[in-house]
Amino acid sequence: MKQKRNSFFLVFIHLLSKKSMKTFAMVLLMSVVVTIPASYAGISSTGAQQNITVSGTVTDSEGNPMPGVSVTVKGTAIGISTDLAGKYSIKVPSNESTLTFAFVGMKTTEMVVGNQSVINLTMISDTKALGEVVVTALGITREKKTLGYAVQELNNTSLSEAKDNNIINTMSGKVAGIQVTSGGSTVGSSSRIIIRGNSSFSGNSPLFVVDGTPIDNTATNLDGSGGIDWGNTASDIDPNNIESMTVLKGANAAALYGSRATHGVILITTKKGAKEGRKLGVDINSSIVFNQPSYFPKFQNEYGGGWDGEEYIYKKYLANNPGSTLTYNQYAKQFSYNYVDGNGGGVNDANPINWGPRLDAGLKLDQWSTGKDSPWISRPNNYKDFFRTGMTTENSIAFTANSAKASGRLSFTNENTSGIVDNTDQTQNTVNTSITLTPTDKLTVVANLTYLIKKSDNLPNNGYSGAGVDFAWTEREYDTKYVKDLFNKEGNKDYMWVGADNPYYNLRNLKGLDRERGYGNLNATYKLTSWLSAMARGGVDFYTERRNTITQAGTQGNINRGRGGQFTLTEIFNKETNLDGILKADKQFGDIRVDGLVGANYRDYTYHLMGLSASDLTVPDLYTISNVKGNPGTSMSDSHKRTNSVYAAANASYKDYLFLGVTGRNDWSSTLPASNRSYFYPSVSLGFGITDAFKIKSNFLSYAKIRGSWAKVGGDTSPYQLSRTYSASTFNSIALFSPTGTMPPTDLKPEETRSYEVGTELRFLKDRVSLDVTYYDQTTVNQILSVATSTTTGYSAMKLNAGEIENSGVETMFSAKVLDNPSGLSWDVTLNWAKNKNMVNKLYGDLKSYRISAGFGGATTLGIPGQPWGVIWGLPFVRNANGKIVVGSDGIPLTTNVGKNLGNVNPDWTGGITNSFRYKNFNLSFLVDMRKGGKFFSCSAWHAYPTGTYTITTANHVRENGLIVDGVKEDGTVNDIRVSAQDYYGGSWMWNNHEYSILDGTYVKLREVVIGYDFNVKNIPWIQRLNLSFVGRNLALLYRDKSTDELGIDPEVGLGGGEAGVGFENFQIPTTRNYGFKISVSF
Amino acid sequence: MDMKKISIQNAIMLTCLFIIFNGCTKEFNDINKNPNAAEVVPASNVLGRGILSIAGTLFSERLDIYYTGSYSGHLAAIGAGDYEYRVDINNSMWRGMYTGMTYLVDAKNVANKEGNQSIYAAALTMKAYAGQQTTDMWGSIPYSEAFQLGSKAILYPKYDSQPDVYNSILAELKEAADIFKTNPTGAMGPGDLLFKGDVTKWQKFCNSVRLRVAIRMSSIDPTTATGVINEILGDPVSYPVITANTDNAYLYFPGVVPDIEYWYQRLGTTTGVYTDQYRMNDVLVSTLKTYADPRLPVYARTNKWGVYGGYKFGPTQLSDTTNNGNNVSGIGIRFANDPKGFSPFMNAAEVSFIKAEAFQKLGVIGDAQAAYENAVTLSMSENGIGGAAIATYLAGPESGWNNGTTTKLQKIYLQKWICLFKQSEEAWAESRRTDVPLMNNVSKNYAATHNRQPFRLAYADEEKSLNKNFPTSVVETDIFWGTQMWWDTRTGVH
Repeated sequence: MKQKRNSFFLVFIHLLSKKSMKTFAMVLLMSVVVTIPASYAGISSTGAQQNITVSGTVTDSEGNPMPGVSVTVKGTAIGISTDLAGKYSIKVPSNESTLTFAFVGMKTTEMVVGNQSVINLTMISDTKALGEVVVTALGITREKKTLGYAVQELNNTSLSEAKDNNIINTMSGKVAGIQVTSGGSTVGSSSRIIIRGNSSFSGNSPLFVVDGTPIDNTATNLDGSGGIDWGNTASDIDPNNIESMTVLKGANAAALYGSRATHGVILITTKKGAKEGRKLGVDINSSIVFNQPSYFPKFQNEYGGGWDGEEYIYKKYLANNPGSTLTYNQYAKQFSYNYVDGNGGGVNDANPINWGPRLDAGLKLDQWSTGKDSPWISRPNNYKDFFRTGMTTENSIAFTANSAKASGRLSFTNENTSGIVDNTDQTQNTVNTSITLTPTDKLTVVANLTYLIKKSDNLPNNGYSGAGVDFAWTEREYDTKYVKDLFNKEGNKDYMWVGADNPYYNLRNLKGLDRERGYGNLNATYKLTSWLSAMARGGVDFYTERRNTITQAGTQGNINRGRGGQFTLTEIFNKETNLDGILKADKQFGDIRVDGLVGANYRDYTYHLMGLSASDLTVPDLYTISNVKGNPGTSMSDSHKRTNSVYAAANASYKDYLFLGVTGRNDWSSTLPASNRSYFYPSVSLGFGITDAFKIKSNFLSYAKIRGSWAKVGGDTSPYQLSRTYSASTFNSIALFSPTGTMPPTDLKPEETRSYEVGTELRFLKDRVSLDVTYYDQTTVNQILSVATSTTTGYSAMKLNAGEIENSGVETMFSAKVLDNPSGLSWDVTLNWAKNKNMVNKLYGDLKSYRISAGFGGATTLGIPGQPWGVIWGLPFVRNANGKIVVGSDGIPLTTNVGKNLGNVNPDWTGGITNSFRYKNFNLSFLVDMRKGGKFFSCSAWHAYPTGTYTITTANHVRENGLIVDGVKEDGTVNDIRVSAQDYYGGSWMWNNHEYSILDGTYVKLREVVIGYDFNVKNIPWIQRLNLSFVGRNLALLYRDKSTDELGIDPEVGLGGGEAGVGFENFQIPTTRNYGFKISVSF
Repeated sequence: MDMKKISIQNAIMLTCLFIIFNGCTKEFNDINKNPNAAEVVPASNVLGRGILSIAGTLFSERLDIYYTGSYSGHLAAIGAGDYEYRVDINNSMWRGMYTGMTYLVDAKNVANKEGNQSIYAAALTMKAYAGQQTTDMWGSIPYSEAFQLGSKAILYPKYDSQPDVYNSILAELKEAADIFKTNPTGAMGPGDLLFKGDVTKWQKFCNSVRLRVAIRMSSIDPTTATGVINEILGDPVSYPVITANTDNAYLYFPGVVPDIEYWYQRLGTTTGVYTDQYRMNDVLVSTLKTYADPRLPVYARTNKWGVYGGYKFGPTQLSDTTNNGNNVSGIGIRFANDPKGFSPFMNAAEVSFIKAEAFQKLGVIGDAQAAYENAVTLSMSENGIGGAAIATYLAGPESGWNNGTTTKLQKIYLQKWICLFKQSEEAWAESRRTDVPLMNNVSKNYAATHNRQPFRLAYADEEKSLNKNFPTSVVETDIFWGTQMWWDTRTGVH
C-alpha cells in the first residue's frame, strides 16, 4: 500500500521534473507527508475488525450501471466508489453494519448488511435535487442548494442545437446578467461577453475554463474605426463536445480562480466516455445552415449621384435665372451629374455622393456603366447584390466506449463556413479526446485533449472600407452586377473612378488566418481514504497563429507607385501552463457535514510575437520576405508572467439546510513590485433552506432558500509595467529610441474587487414553477490603470492604482412547466432578466475623465466620475436655454468644438424568454432575446446625412421643397430660413456634430427556433436515437428603437471583442438570418 | 479524527505552502524584466527619434498640406475643400508636437548624463524650434512647467503666455548657441538625421532659428528682437547662420520603403497619373503667374489642360467648376513626388529674408537690397533655376527691388512667403504677421463672417479635459478664429 502511494507521487514528481516545477513537487510531497499519516490512522484502527466482504452492482432506474457511486460503511471511514461497470466490493466490520450509497442527483440509500454478501441496488432519482447539481470553481460538483451564491447552467442542447459559429453568441439571452455583443455577420468575427456589467476600464472578459484548465480568450480589440477582426479565441471551442456550461457570475462564485475571475467564470465541462451505458457508442451530427443577409440599411431610391441635382435646387436655379429655358435634364447634365472620365472631367463624376438628379424620372445622362445619354435609373438592389448567401456545414462524429477500468470518447468535427462577402471563408477541424482510466479502486487518471486547426484564406474587413464598397458612399444608380462582370472580364481595370479599385479586386487582397491550437489537461486523483483524496492536474493551452495580409501589385495605388505589392506576416505563440495540486476532504459528523480542500497553483504565461512586412516587392505578387524591395519591416515582442497561488476552501452543512462556505487564496504575481507581490483574498457564503429547516410541506410553496455571500478578489497586471523603457524603431537602418509614454508606477498595489450578493430561490406548485432572484453589488477599487495625462507633462499616461467602479443589479430567473403531460403536450417557459446599474465613483485626483476608447471621428468613450462606465463624448448641437437647436444666418445648425456627454453605452436591462413545447415525438422551442437601451455612436448614421444615401434625406419631399430646420436663430426668433436638403443634410456642419448619430441599442429578436422530430427507432436495434431538426437563428428583429429603425441599423452589432469597440457601430455588414437542418444519429 | 484536526492540518499545510511559495518568488524580478526594451539607450538615437517625430507632425500631409497648407494660401484639398476640424486629428497634432518635444528633452537629459555637449545643444535647439512652432499655432502653451511629471511631479503644467514662451525659447537657443560657440565635445552619432554629424551646421541652424524667433516678435517687441539680431549678425564668428543652401536644415529621406518622404507617401506616383485631392492653392499659383515666377513649374504641375490652376476658396468654392480635379494643379514633383525628398526645417533663403527685413525695418546695419536679392537667388537656385532667369526675375516689374508699387517690406514679405513652400506652418505664421499676401477669401462655411484665413488652431480637446490649468481666457471663435497671436498685430481682421 505504502509502496503504491510513493510510486504514484514519484511519477508525479518525475512529471514535474522541470527545474521551475520542483518547488511545486515539493509542495505536493509536503502535503502527502503532512496529511497521510493522520488520514491513514483511521483505516488501520478499523482494519482488525474486517471480516465480511460485500459486493454488488449499482444501476440506475433504466438498468444502466452507475460508476462513481460512493459506498461507505456508516459511522466509519471505510468507503469505496463503484467502478465503471457499477460494481463494488467492500469489507465491512460486522453484520450490523449499514452501507450508505450516495451519488449526486440520487436519493442516498442505506442498506443493512445482515446475511447478504451481494447487495445490488437500483438508485432512485432525487427529484428535488435533479437538475440542480452544478459544477463550481475548480471543477467541483456541488448540489446547487448548498451554494450561497448564484450560478446558472446551460446544457449541451441549448448550446449545440441552434448554435452560432461563435459559442459566445449562442449564450445570448440564455443567462441572466450576461451581455453579449456580436461582432456581426462577418466570418470569424469576435463577440464580446460580459457578466454583471463593465467593472474595469481595461478588460471585462470572464475567464473561460475547460475541464478545470483556463483557456485563452484573446479578442481583437478593434476600436471605433474597425479593421480586421481575427476573432476571439474562445470561439475555438466546439459546442459538440460540451456536456454542460456553468456561468459563475460574480467574484463570490469565482473567488477561487483569483484575479482573472473578477469578471466571472464560464466553466465548461466536456463530454466523457462513461455513463453512456452502451457497448458501442457512435454519435453523428450533421448540419447545414444558410446565412441569408437580411437586415439592410434603408437606402433611398429617388436621387442618384452628383451635386445640386435635387428638384428644389433646380427650381431655385430657374427662379434666379429668369430667362433660362433649361429643362431638368439639361440642367442635370450641365450642373449636377455627367460622367466623362471619373476624374472631374465631367460634372461631379470624380466622387460618389447622392445629391444628384432625380432617378427614374425619364432623365438621360452620360454614365459610366451604360454610356452616353442613357436612362438615369435607380438600382434598389445594388447593395444587396454585393452580398451572397453564406453557408455553414458541420459534420461531427464521436465514438465512446467504456469498460470496467477505462472509458473514453473521441470526436472529430469539421466546420466549413463561406461568408456572405465574396471570397471570405473559414474552416475548423477539431479533434477532442477524453480518456478516463481507473487502474485501481483508488486511482483515477483522466486526460482531456483538444487539438484544432482553424483556417481562413480571407477574412473581411470590418468598419470603414469594410465590405469593399463603402456603401454609404456609393451612388444609388451604381450597377453592382456590371462591376462584378467587369472584374470577371478585365480584373482591376477601367473602374468607375480614376485611382480607385474594383471592390471585387479589393476582396482578393487577402487577410488570411491560420491557428493551430492544443489544450487539455491530465488529472490524477488518488483516494487516500473514504473522505480524503489528493488530486494533481497539469493543464496547458497553447496556440500558434499566423496572420498574413497581402495587397496585390495590381491595385491602382501600387500601379501608380510602381510597386509589386505588399504583405504583412505576423506569427503569434501563446501558451499558458497551469499546475494544480489539491487535497479534498469530505466528512460527516453527526448532523454536520464538512468538506474542503487545500491546493496550490502554478501558472506560467508566455507570449511571443514576430512580424515581417514588405512595403514593396521586386517580383510582383511574390509574397516572401527575400523578395522585398527596400527594407523589410520587422518586429518582435516577448511576454512572460508567472503567478503562484495557494488556496483553501471549506464548506459545512448542518442537517442539509444550513450551508456555510469559506474560501481563501493567496497569490504571488511576477508583475507586481516585490513589496506588494503577495496578496490574500477571502470569501464567505451562507445558504439557508427555509422549507427544509422548518419542515414546511405545502402544495403551493415547495421549496424556499435564501442565500448571501461576500467576497474580495485581488488582481495583478500585465508584465513589464514597473520600469521606464525605450521602445525602438528604425529609420534608414538606424535604431531610434523613444521613451515610453507611460510613467511607471512607484508602489503599485494589486487591484481589488469587493462584492456581496443576496438571493433567494423559490419553487411553487410541486416544483412546476421556480423563481431565483439575486441582488449583487460589486465595487472595484485600486484598479491598475494607465491614467491619461496631458502630453505636455512629458508623459501621455501614468500607471497607477486609481478609480472605483461599482456595479449593482438584480438578476431573475423564472421557469415554469405550463403543461406537463408526458404523453401529450408539454410546455416549458424559462425567462431570465437582469438589470445592472453601473457607476464610476472615482478616478484619480481631480481627473475629469478617463478615456476608454479613442472611438471614431472624434466621438470617444470615457469614464467620468459620477457617470456610468462608457459615456459617449462628442460634439453636440448648439442649443439655446430651452434646448432648441440654434441655426446660423444661413439656416444651418451652428457647430461647436466643445464636447459633451451624449449618453452612455450601458443597457437598462437585458432578458430572454425561451418557450419549449413537446408533443409526442415533436419538439419546438424558440428564444426571444432582448435588450433595452444602451447608446452607441453610429458611423453609418454619421454618414447617412452627408452622403444623401439614406431615406431620411428624401423623406417628406425635402428634395423637392427644401426644409426649415426646427430651431431658432441666434437672436432667439424661430427659424424660418428654408434650405435645400443638400445644404442641410449634406452640409459640412455635420462633421462637427456627433449628436445626431447617437442611436439607441434597444432590440427584441427572435434569436433561436428549433423544430425537431425524434424518429421511432425502437425496432431498429443498432440505432439509439435519430433526430431531425430545423434550426433557425436571428429569424426576426421584432423591435428596435426608432433611431435605428429609420436607418435600418442592427442595434446589436458591435466591433471586436475588447473595450475599444464598445459603443461604436461602423458601416456594419448586413446581419443575417440563419436557417438550416440538423440530423443527429446515435448508434 | 475531528474537525479540529482537519483545520490544524490545513493550517499547517497552508503555512508550509505559503513559506515555500513566498520563497520561490525571487526569480519573479527576472521574469518581470522586459526583454523587448532597454532602460538605457544612447542619446544620439533618442535625438534622431525626436527629430523624426517633429518632422512627422509638421511636415506630413495632414498638417502641412491640408490644414496649414490651406490657411497659408499655398495648398488646398479639392473635393470637400473646407477647413477641417476633427477632434481626433486635432488631438493628434497637439500630441505630436508635445511628444516630439518630450523625446528631445529626454535626448538632452541623456546627453547630459553622457557628457555629450553637442547632442545636448542640438536637442535643445530642436526643442526650442518645435516650441516656437507650437506656440505659433496655438498661442499660450505649457512650456516652463512642461515635461516635468517625472522629475517634479507636475501633473498640470501651467500655461505660459506667448511672450513668456518666446523668452524661454530665446534663452534656450542662447544656451545652445553658446555651447556651440565653444566647439563642444561629443560626437553627434548615428541619430543626427538632420546634419549627419556636422556640428557646425547645427550651430548655424541654432542661430538661424534665433533670427526667426526674433523677427517674428519684431513688430510687438522690436527692442528684444533687435538685440538678438544684432548679437548674432554682429558676431558671425561666434554666431554663424545658414548662408548657403548646402547648410539648409532639411531632413532628407533614404527613399527606400518604408522610409520615404511624407508627401510622397501620400501623393507619390510613378505613372504620372495624379488623382489625389491635395492640390495647389489659387493664391500661390496666381501670385507666381502674375510675377512670371520661374518656380511655378517646380512648385506645381500643369493641370489636365496643360496649364496651371489653383483651388479657389470662397462662398462658391463647391459649385465652382474650375475647382475640380482636372483644373487644379497638382503639387510639383520636387516636393510631392520624390521618395528621397525632404522635410524642410529651415533654409538659407529665409535667413537672408530675415536679414533684409532687419536691415529695412529694425535699423540693423546692412544692405537690405543685397540681402533681398541674395534671398531670392538662394530660393531660385535651390529650385534649380538658372542665373539668367534669376536676373530677369530680380528686374521684374514687382519683384525688382526698386520696381512696381509694392513697398520694400511687402516685397520681402511676399518673396519670403513664396520661399517657404512646403513649410506651411511657417508660411501661415508669416502671412498672419505681415498680412502679405492679402488673403480675404476664406472657406465657404466661414466666408460670411470672416475676412481672413484662420488665426489659430483649436486647442486639443484632450488637453482641455486633462490639464486643469487650461486657461479660461482663451477665445476660440468658430474654431479657427478668436484670440490672435501675440505677434499678430493686424487690426480689423476677423
